[in-house]
Amino acid sequence: MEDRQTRERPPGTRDAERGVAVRLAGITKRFGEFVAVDDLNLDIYEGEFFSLLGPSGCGKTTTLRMIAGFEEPTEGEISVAGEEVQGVPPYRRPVNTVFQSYAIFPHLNVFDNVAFGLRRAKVPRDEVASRVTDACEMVQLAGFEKRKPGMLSGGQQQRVALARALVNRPKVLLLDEPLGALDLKLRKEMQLELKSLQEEVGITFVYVTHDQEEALTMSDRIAVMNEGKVQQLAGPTTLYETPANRFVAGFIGQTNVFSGTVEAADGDRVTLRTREGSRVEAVVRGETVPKESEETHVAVRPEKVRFGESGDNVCAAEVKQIVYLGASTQYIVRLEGGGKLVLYQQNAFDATGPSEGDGVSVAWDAQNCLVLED
Amino acid sequence: MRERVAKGWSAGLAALLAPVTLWLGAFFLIPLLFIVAFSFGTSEVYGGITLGFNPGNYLKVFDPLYLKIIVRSLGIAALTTLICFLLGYPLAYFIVFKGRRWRNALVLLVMVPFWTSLLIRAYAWVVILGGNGIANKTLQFLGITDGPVNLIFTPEAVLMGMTYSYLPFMVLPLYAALEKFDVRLKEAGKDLGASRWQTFLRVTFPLSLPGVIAGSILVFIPSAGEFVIPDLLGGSQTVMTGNLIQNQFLQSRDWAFGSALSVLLAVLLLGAIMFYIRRVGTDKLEGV
Amino acid sequence: MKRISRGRFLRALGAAGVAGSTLSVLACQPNTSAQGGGGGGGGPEEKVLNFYNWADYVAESTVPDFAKQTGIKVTQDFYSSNEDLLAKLQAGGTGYDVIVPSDYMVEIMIKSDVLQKLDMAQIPNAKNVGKEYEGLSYDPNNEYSLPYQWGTTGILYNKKEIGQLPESWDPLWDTEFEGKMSMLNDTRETFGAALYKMGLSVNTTDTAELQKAAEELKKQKPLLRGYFDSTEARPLVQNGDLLLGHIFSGDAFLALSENSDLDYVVPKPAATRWTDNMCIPNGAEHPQNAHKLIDYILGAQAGATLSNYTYYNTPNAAALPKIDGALKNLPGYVLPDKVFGRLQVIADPGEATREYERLFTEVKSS
Repeated sequence: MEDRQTRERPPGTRDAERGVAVRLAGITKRFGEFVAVDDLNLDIYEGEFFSLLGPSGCGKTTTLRMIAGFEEPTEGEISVAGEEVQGVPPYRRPVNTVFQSYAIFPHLNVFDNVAFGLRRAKVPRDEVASRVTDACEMVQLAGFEKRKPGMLSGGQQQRVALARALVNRPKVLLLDEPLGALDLKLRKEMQLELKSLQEEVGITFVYVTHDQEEALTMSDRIAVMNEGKVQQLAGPTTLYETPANRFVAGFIGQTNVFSGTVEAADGDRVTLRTREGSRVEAVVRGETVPKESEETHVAVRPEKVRFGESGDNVCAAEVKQIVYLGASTQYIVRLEGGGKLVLYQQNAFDATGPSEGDGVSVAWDAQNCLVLED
Repeated sequence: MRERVAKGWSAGLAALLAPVTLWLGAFFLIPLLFIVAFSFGTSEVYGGITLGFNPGNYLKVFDPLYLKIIVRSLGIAALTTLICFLLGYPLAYFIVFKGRRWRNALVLLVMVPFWTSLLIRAYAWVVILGGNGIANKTLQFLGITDGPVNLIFTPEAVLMGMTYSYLPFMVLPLYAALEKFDVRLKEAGKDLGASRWQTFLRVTFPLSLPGVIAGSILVFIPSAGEFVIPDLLGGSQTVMTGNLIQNQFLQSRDWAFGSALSVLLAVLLLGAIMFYIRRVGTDKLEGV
Repeated sequence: MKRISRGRFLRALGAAGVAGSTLSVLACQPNTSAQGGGGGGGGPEEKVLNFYNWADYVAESTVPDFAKQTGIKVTQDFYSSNEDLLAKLQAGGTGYDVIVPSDYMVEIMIKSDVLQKLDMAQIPNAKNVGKEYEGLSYDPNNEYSLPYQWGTTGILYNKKEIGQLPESWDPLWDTEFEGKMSMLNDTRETFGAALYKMGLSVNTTDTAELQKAAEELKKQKPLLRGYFDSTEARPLVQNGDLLLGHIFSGDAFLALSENSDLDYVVPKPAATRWTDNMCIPNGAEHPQNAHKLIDYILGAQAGATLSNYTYYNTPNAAALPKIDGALKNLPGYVLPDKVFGRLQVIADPGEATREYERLFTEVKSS
């Protein structure tokens, strides 16, 4: 696991000497018997948009709260900007947080909310005013300074929370599912906006989300977490194209997984005999090459499967269900030898697909297949 | 009625409100109107009243003796409110944020005194604070005093008794206000560089102000009209407005003046409360 | 006067209901009587009676014995001040048949026209009333009232601690006893003490005299522990919290019977003698039964049983020989004629009531 974590460098870091903004070394957090975070080691680089992605209960929020200082790790060390912060209260850490439900102060207007941190830091009056104004402009809230939070929409409150944190120019901005409460359209807009904002201010963002699409859209690097451990740490493309294990493959995007035993292994080519009895050929791209008669899994993304009769893997099937998705159509087919398969077809100008109940042939290539660890 | 329905009142809502309207009308509004009418009447020597318009009852209030009593009553009520706040806030805060699974039990404990009559509890204090009471015995046992000291029938005992009686009225609304407080706001405060104390001062406390206001009003109003405790624990040496009003209705049989005092006290309290709410600021509470 | 019974909180409870009771004065005139009988006719009455009295002011056996003798079932209800009683009666329709107001209140009630005249033909035992208790100023011809119990107002003190006191009001102004004295929380009695001390009448309505009395009381106030009801003062003197207490005689006798260190004095030059009286309010629904109860209580044995229980004096000459010897031997219970002769009866001061009350408020607020 360690090798995977250090193998990838954030995109755009040609020089390996980029500074570390947050270092988590051997972090374990236990709540009674429950291990929320299990021996976590992570370096988050300066200026990076870093996401912690995983299902609820995977330890991502706990990790964020340990960086913020709301929780202390049971074991391990956390440093922010090169300084160890264990035992340092939240208000003395050079980080700010955007909370899940925003946690805007309801008794203060927008200006006072945004100015809160600056005033605690005893920033001079004039400077407070100008920085608050700038921050509000930055998040497109200019003119809303005198409003009370109760009079703002969800999206506007989100912006207040963002401005309130960013105005303090933290070394690291921590975001805990900040878009979770917004509707889909607004969420998509905000994703792009957050990303460009991050590029503009150059502050390190540590972003917690359970939404893989959100993480893929915005992040430079993503740590996929499950059961307190990092399953894979990589950039969006790598994560999607070469998930490290079944969990990551299943969590990032949709995928078809065949489980079975290795019938033949020839160099990087593997033939799997599935439990249902069909054969699947795959090319191994990871380091570990499964040996003959070993149990393993082979995955293929739905968009890499097509209707047709030419390819490394060809299989007769019956169309069970068709779901029109707009840009593409999703087909669920039952394979002749047993087992289900999902495939996507782009809705091109003249494309006409099969109908439900039709007998078809599906095909995919070995190089688009992945051999996965458990 | 037709107008109301036109404004969107359903017959169902009107039916639901009817009992309470009748109740308040019969037991609150009508008696209040009587008191107002009495306050302009002329008292007969043996009780009873001749209705009319006699502003003299109100002019009588400007007797320096009565003014002094009213001012002192309001002062004692304000002091009681302040002490209840200083004691009640930490208690409510503790119960909400540190009470954990004991929270409900602790709130129940706060309410336990209500299970017995105030008079019986006040009598208990007479026994506890008396010359041979537990308090004096304890002081002597600890060697703090040589003999019995006067703990009761003093102004301090009155203040203590009033604080004791009305503390739950402060704690319960504070508890309710703090209980719905979003702890993330505390985290947000700390996250933005505010220490625990600053977070309390800038975030927690302002957001609990509705509770502070409700508690203060609930303590201040009955304190200002109190007449039992000054007699029982103060040895009747302090006359408060409540005692004065009681005296007019029973001993002096001057119902008109008693009514005028009641109306005046009500108006004063209403004014004080409105000033207080303005001052402490409902404007700060918008959006809560 | 048994102004306050054995617990001040009864009065306070009553006071808490002040608003309610005053309002009922005007709000309605309901006929709350459950009994149907009614009417002013002299026909046979249902065998029931409503007795409205001070709490704990009747011997435990009185009502059952009366019921045994007459077959009349007595329903008892209690009040805690003369003023409460008056307010109830003025509201009308109380359904009460026998009430026990104090002297000055009888006068007020007669003036307020809430009492009916007694039919002496129905009360043969009225002859038992001692001459000293008949025809008092508040009801000179005993047309409306017959005495129930009587007593004095004096000083209960700790003889063991401070020695024998002179028969005087002066000790209550003695700085030596600062913080160890109490006065009655009763306007007329406490003003009475000051007026007696200055040799004036307890019934003065002279503003200058009242002012002088108020000045005396203001001088006294810093020396006091407080103004207490008689029942409150008793335990305080008994347990040593107070050395002297201004008190009603019944409470004093109760204290003396329990603590031999104490003594009771009826001071010179004058002191109060008070009487509680049995009356029948207008509109009583069982006047015949009411007369029977009054007659019963004025019987020799019933009168003695009553006083032996209450520790107050009986106005019933026939009952006197049956009073407990121990009670009779208590100091001040049986008064020599010359002491009895200097006692004064508090009368209704009419309009001056409010001046008294205002001045007492002034004293307390000083």
